This record gives sequence, structure tokens and C-alpha cells, in this order.
Amino acid sequence: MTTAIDILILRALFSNPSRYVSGEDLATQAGVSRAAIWKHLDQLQKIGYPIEAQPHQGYRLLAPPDVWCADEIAARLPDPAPGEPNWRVLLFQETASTNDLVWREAQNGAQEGLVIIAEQQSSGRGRQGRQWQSCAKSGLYASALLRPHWPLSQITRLTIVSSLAVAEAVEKLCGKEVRIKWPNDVFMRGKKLGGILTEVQADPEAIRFAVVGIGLNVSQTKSDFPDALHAIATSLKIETGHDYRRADLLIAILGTMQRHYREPFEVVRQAWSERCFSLGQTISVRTPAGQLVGQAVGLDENGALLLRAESGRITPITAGDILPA
Amino acid sequence: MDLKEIKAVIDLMTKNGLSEFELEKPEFKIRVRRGADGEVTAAPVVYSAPAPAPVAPTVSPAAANAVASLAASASAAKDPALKQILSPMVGTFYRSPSPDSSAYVEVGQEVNEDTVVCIIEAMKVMNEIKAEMKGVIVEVLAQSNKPVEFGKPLFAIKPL
Repeated sequence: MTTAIDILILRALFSNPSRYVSGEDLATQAGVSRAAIWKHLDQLQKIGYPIEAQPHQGYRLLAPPDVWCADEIAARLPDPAPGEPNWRVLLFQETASTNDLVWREAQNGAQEGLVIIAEQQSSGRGRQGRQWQSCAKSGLYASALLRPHWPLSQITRLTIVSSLAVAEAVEKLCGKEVRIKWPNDVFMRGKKLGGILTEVQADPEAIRFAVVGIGLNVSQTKSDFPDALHAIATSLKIETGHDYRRADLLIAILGTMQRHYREPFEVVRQAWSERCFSLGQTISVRTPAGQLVGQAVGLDENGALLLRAESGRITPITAGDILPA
Repeated sequence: MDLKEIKAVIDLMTKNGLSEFELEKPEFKIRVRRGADGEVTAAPVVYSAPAPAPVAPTVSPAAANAVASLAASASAAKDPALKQILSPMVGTFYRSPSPDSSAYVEVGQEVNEDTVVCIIEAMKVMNEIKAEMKGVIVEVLAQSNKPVEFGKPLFAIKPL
């Protein structure tokens, strides 16, 4: 299978959702015979895209199920503006961890924009080796390679950029409010929907590369979560009753992320602050230096949480977990 | 300069709200910096003079921290050939990838430019720090799971 032809066909089908696309036009564009186009369409049918063929009219895509296919994502991603990452997506059926795969490619010199997605992760993880529950087909697991030319002190901005991109994209697609818990957790109706793990390799002065890992609960039902997580974790299916396609979600996330990545941080900080449910409230934060209580008043220029103590003194927090109220 | 004098400097800084103090003399150089949260930390210090004798002054907790980290730097720098790996950022210092796994490096271990020695976490960004030089780890100068400031010595290393 030539991936370029699949991408061309999928782009034509997805950008004309209710219209028929002529096989002849596709053949001309791809520079191949109509028979070759038909073979590709047949293959796409086999992997799950319902394509309707109408004599003399052409081909039309019916509502597609949750096919997880790198070519579709490549076909539908918006073109990057100058300076934005040019996403290139690779799919693995199963991997220990998508972050590990991207990390290895980055060390071998892969360019900014590589995205690895997996159907299933056997050892997905969060911070400090904490396990991330990864179920086959029910969650979105993706890791993206970025090479920001920022001073190392600004690397924390990436957490703010990524969590904002996930929250905005999911909200736009689902029409339900998505909020953020500082610094990286994405919430719907008070329960955690997803998280982000960013891993960085740096010289003392410069960032070599950053791997942003995104985990989002999509179609899990209550019984997919261990009892202990029912009160704190959720999925889009549980919250909305709908089945969402992971490809739609990832395309929306990557499209939003590429924009925020190059935007002035001030713009990102403003949008992020409006979504954060901790700002303005009195919170307790467990930090490596001990527990702190104060009012969350905002983010500093690199995304650290500004906590105002009763004395009025403001402390920037870069490490810590906000404790449940 | 002995620890009593260093303590006097810190007390003066605290009293007068100074955030940074630097003094350079032919035989030594010292820089003391107070963080934004009021905590006093010692920035990289290079000694060629013998390490000062330990003293046990009664000091405020913040000043005690500073003295402790100065002492740590001093002991690691007894040998002028030793170098330090400094924290490139503010964050939490982790010696291992997870609480159950073994440390990236142990004292006595040989490392090269690309050996990962620790992780500094800030805002859920895990930053792998490399040794950036060939050598043997002589001392671990920071405590795992604890915050570190910018420029805080993390390891003493004997270059090879």
C-alpha cells in the first residue's frame, strides 16, 4: 500500500463529508489508474472505513467508526504555519510506552513534529513511574516530539501549552466544559479525564528535545476503571454518553497545540487561567518542601503557580500537588 | 573566611533584605543567594582553601540550610580536582526514575558525558540531567525528592 495515495483519498473523503468524490478525479490527482484507486478504497474499507460507491457519482464516506489510522490523521491535520511543528504520525499496535518510542527516535535525531500513537500501551506511566491505566481502544495515547528553542527555565511553559490544547480541543469537540487542574490535569465535571507527562533531555543551558505524552480516557465505561478510581477518574463516554473517535480528538488536539506552541506565552497564560479551577481559591498544595496553604492568584511567566499566603507574601510553586479541598 | 563569618554575612543579608552577595579573593570565591521564597541557598562555590572547621552555631532554619549546603560544597571541594554537577533549574531532585527503581548513579560509579545522573521535575516536566563530563561520582550533594534551586550542586565528580 502506498501511504501517499491513502492520504490523498482520505483527505478527499473527509473534506467532502456528504458529497461523492469522483474516482476519476482521485486517479488523476494521484497519477494512477482508476483500478489502483479502487484497490486502495477496498483496503480502506477493510480496515474499517465505510465507503459507499455509487455508479457515475463516485465514492462517499459514511459515518466512520473509531478507526485508529495514522494516514487519516495525516490527511486531516491542518497545514502548519511557519514555525509550527509539522506533525508526522506513526501508529504502533502495542508498545510499552509511546513516550519511550519517541524518546528513542529523538535521540537518533528525529525532527520536531514526530507523533507516535498506540492502540495499546502495556506499561503506560505517569510521573515517577506511577502506572497509567491503558486499555485497548478505549483511550487515546499519543506522544509528540518538540524541540523548542527556549531557555531551559521556560520548559515548564510546555505543560501549560499542552494542557490548554487538550482542554480546548476536547471541549470544542464534545461541547462540554473542560477545566484544568494546575499544572497538567484535564477535568470534566470534577473528575480526571486525562493527563500529560512531559519528558525532557537538556544540556545545562539548552533544551535538546521534549516528549509530550498525552493520555485521554475516551470510551471506557465505569466497569473499566478499578473501584478505587470511580470517584476521581472518568471518560468522555461516561460523561457525555457518546462514542468519540480517537482520530477526531487527536487531530483537534494537535491542531490546537501547534497554534499555542508558537503563540506569545502571555496569550496562552490568559486562556489557561480562565480554565483553571484552582485560581482565585484558597488551596492546599503538597510540595517537596512541605504543605502550603494560600490563595492561588495566577501563573508566573513560566507557568509556576503563584500562591499568596495570609501574610500577603506570594510564593511561586513549581513542584507540588494541589490537594482536594 | 570561616563558617561564623559566612553566617554573619547571611544574617546581614536577611536583616537588610539583600538577595545576593558575592565576594572574590585570590584564594576563594563565595556567592550566597536568597531565593524568592525567602529561603537562603548557597550557589556554586569554588574553594581552593582547606575546608573550614565545622561549627555548631545557633541559627535560624533558613540560615542553617545555607550553612549545611555550604559545608556540603566545601567537603566535596576538598580536592581541587573535583567538579560539581549543578542543577540547571528550579525543581524537585529525583535520584531514580521511580521510587522502586535503583538510583541512576551511585557513589563510586564511572560516568561519561551522556550518563543520566538524575531527574529534576518542575510542573510535571521531567528533565533528565546528564553528567556532561567523564568522571567518577564522589558524593551526592542533594537529597532525593527535595526541592533544589538553580545552581545548587547535585553531585561531586572526579573528572577522568
